[in-house]
Amino acid sequence: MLAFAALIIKNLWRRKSRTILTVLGISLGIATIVTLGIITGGLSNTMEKIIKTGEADFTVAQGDVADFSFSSITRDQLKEIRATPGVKSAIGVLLGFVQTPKNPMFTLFGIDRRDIGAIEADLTRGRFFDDGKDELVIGKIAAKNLDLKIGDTLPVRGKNFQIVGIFQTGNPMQDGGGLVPLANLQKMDKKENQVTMVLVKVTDKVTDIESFTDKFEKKFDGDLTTLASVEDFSSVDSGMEIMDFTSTAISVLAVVIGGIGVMNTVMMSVFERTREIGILRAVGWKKRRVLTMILGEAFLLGVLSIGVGIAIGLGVIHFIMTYPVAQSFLVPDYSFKIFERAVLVGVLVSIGGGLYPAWRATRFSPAEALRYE
Amino acid sequence: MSNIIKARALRKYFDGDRIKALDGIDLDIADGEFVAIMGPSGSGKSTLLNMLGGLDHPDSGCLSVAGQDLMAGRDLTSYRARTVGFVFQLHNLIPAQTALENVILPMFESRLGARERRRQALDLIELVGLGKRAQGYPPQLSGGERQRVAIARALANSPRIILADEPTGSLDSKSGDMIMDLLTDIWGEGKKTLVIVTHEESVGRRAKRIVRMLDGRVV
Ligand SMILES: Nc1ncnc2c1ncn2[C@@H]1O[C@H](COP(=O)(O)OP(=O)(O)OP(=O)(O)O)[C@@H](O)[C@H]1O
Ligand SMILES: [Mg+2]
Repeated sequence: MLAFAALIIKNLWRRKSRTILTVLGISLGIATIVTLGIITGGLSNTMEKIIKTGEADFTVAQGDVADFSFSSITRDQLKEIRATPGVKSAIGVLLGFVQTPKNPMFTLFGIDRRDIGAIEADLTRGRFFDDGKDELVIGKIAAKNLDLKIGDTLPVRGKNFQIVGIFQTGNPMQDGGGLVPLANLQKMDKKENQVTMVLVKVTDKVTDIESFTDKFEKKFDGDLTTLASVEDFSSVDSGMEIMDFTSTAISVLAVVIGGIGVMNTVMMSVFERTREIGILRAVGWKKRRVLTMILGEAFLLGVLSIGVGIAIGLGVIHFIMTYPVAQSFLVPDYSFKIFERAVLVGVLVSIGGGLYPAWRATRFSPAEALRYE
Repeated sequence: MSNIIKARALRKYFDGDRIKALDGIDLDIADGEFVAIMGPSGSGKSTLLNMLGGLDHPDSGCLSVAGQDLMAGRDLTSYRARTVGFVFQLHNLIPAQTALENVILPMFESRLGARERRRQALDLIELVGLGKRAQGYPPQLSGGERQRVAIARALANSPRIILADEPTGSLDSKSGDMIMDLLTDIWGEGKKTLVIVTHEESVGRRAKRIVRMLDGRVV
C-alpha cells in the first residue's frame, strides 16, 4: 500500500514541471473560488449587519429601486411607519457616499442625535455630534486609515467637518465611515425630508417577523420593502445577485477548465507510458491496479491543487485587506463552507479529469502496448 | 516427462487476415525443458511467445500451459503474475523505479507483506549478482545490469516458466554470454521451463532443443 502510494508520487515527481504547471492551473481556479467566496460571504455579513443595525428586527427601504443606495423614504412615510401597530421604534438613516484620499467610498450615516443610541455604537473616544453642527463621529477603521484624530477636520462636499469622537460597532462599513447630523447631510445632498433606510424594532407582541413584514409591505402597497435578512437584499440590490451569479459561474468554469487540464496532463503521461503500462500488465498487474494508479496520480494533482489554491486564495485576501476601501466594506468570512467547496472542486476536477485517461490505460492490450517504443 | 506447454493448430492473424503471424503452430514443450525459438525477422517468434505468456489471445487452435487453457475469453492476469516470468529485449524496466522496486512490481498482486516482498526482491537481486546496485535507477545501469534486473523480476512470484524474447539482443557478446550463463544457471537449478527467442546461433546452441519458425509455422 505504502509502496503503491510511493509509486504514484514518483510518477508525478518525474514529470515535475508538468505537474507543477498543472497544479498551478487548477489551483488558480480554486484560489478564485476561495477568494470570491470569502469576499461575498464577508460582504453579505456586512449587509446583514447593516440591516440589523442596533439589533433592529428589520430595515425598511424604498420598494422598487435598482440599488439600495438610491432608496428614498419620505418624512411622511417614516411617520406612517412609526404609527404602524406593532412597531416599537423606527429610526431614519440617510446614507451619503463621499470620496476621501484613501477611500473612494467613504460612507456617511446621517442620523438624528436623539436616535443615536439605537445604533448601539461604542464611543471609544470623544463625544457624539450636536445636531445642526458640521461635526462628525468617525469610525475606528476610518480614523486609522485616514489618520484622523479628534479635533482634525475632514472636508466633505466643500464643508469642513470637525471630528468630535471615534466610535466602533463591529460593522466594517460603519467603522470605515462616519456619523453626521441627519439634517446637515440631507441639506448637503439635497435630500431634505428623506432618509435611505428605516431601522425598525417591533414590540414584544409581534412573534412572527415574517408574517409581520408581509402585512407591512402590503400596507404600503409595494412602495416600501422590508429587509429582514441578507437574502431580502435582492429586492433592492442587484449587485449582490450579480456577485453570487459571477461566483457560481466562475466555480463552474474552474471545474471545467481544471478538469480539462487534468485530463490533458494525465492523458499525455498515459500515452507516454504505454510501454510501461504494457510491462506492468505483463508482470501480472490487474486492470484495476493500473486504473487505481492513474486515478491516484490525478487525485494527487487535485490534492496538491487544493492546498496551493487555498494558500493563494488566502494570500490574495490578505493582500486585498491591506486596502482601506476593502477594510471599510468587509471582514473576510473564512467559513467552513468555502473550504469545503474548494476541496469538492479539487476532488471533482481531479477524479473527473483522471477517469477517462485511467480507463484508456486499462484498454491497452498488453501485447500491443509492449510493441510500442 | 509431461508437457507443460501444448499448442495445436495455433493461429493469430493481424489486419484481418493479411498478416498470418501464427499460421497453425503445433508445439509441445516438456516441463523443465530449455527451448530456443529461432527464425527470421517477422516469422512470428514474439507473437508465439506472447501467446505462451498470456499477453494476447490466439485466434484459433488449442493452447494450454501448465494446465491452464489460454484460449480466448479468459482473464489471464493472475496467470501472468504467477505462472510465467518475462524478459524482453529492451526497455524492460520502469525507469522511475529503482532496481529493487522494479523487482517488487510483480509482487503487488500477491498477498505478501511489504517487508517480505522487499526481502524476497533483495534475495533475487543478490541472486543475479546485483546486490550493490539494488538502489540504482535503470538509466544508471549498464545494458547487462538492466537485463539482470529484468531476470530477477521474471523470477518474482516463483513462476514455473521463464519466457525471454531476445534477452541478449541488445548486448555485446560478452555481456550476452553472461546473461545466458545466468539464465542457464537459473534453469539448471530451479527446475524451471525456459523458452528463449533468439537470432543468435550461439545462444540457440545452449538450449536443449531449437524450434525453428518460418512464416508463422514451425519448420
Ligand atoms: N499487433 C500487431 N499488429 C499487426 N501486425 C503485427 C502485430 N504483431 C505482430 N505483427 C506482425 O506479425 C508478424 C510476426 O511478428 P513477430 O513480432 O511475431 O515477429 P518476430 O519473429 O518476433 O520478428 P523479430 O525477429 O523481428 O522480432 C510480423 O509481420 C509483424 O509485423
Ligand atoms: Mg520479435
